[in-house]
Amino acid sequence: MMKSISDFNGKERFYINKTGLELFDVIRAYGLGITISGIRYEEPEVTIKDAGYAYMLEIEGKPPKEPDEELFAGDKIKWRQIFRTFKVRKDAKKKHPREDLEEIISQNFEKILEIHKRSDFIPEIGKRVKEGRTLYQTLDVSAAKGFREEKRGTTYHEGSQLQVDKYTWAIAVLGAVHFVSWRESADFMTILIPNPLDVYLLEHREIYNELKKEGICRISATTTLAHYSIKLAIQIAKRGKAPLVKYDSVIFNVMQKTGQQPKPCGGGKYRLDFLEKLTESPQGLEALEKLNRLFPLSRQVKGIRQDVALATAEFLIRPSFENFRRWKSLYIRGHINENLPLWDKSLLGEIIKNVEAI
Amino acid sequence: MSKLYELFSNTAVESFGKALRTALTKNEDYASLIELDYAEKEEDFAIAIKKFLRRLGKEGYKPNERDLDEIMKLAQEYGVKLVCAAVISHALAYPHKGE
Repeated sequence: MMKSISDFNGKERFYINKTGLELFDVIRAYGLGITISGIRYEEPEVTIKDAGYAYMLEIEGKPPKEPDEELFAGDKIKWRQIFRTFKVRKDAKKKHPREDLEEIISQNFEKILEIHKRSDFIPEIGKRVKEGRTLYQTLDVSAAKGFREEKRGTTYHEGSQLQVDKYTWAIAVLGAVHFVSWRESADFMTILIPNPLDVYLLEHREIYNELKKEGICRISATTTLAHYSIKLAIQIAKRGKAPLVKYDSVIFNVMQKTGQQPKPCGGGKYRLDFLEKLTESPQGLEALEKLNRLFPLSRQVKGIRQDVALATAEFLIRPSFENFRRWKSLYIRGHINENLPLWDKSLLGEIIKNVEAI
Repeated sequence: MSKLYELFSNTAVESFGKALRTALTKNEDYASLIELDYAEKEEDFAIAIKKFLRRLGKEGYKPNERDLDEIMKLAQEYGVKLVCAAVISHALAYPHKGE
């Protein structure tokens, strides 16, 4: 009997081919994972691996025949955030996307799993896709109208929506609802999600739930990203030398709040190498805990403490010599003016070891 | 290992860092901090070190002559910016018992 291409060592394999839209790709991977394992029973066990061109999901056990209903429940605020750009109109003929999603998953569950068993399945994305759904900017800012099309001249036009096939759209939304960390401040929104290099989904959910309880500094999008990444690195380090999760970066998207709909502000991938190096030694981990405390949770913090938080974030994102110089200069002023605590020499040494000095 | 860490581990740098910390906490000598922070050329560095040592006065910790020779050599070898950053970094570390 011919063996199925998706059958590897008794494990069934599913594929999420990458499109280049980083956030969209990663939420599809997590979305497909949670669609298979469900929320209530957490079975079968799912592992997600980043293979460069695609995310591979390995399933231990048999995939379910129908979706877990709890996939469509959960945090109301989160659903509202994901569908933030969707406007409810009284005369609308369209269903609310949440109902639409439930219908797509419930009616096409087996089909969704089937197409993702194929290693050549690429989502259909374009201006017009048959039975397509809108790719919201909350699923990837690169999909936002303002980002894709130039607006020149005096004639105003709204720009066109980007659509994606309904199966891909549905799993992406599920991934966003169940795994994206959404942090808002008075004027921006940051979407954060760790990139799964080799991740056991159950463990990842635990980490996600732990991080959800934690406060994150929201002085700027940079401090949000750096503070979130520190907390993530600490969570992984707590799990010992052989954690069941391995991330290589944090994927982030930023949107600017306006009086109307939020506008795309940027995005990218922040590599976790520097933070990982720090967690390799006990002193490094302690230094990371200390850096963690430099990020104030209150938005009211001004002056040198705010400057130190911003400089710390810049330094962690790019641990260059210039950023280190700026950080230490501000820190020493913070110590003089605001009594910021001094460092233990060995902890400071651990940070300095990893500064990219010329 | 970064060059900055090599300098941070150097005893002469540590000695100057310790003196700077004392100068900041006991004598409120912020001028030396600024001069060291902004020194880019060897001449600026030599002047900053000269002024710093003069401001240290008779009390408190002072680097010795060997430390001075060593730090000037390091500035030539590694560059002023790196040496100053390593010295100021030591001022960020709290003193151990007996210091």
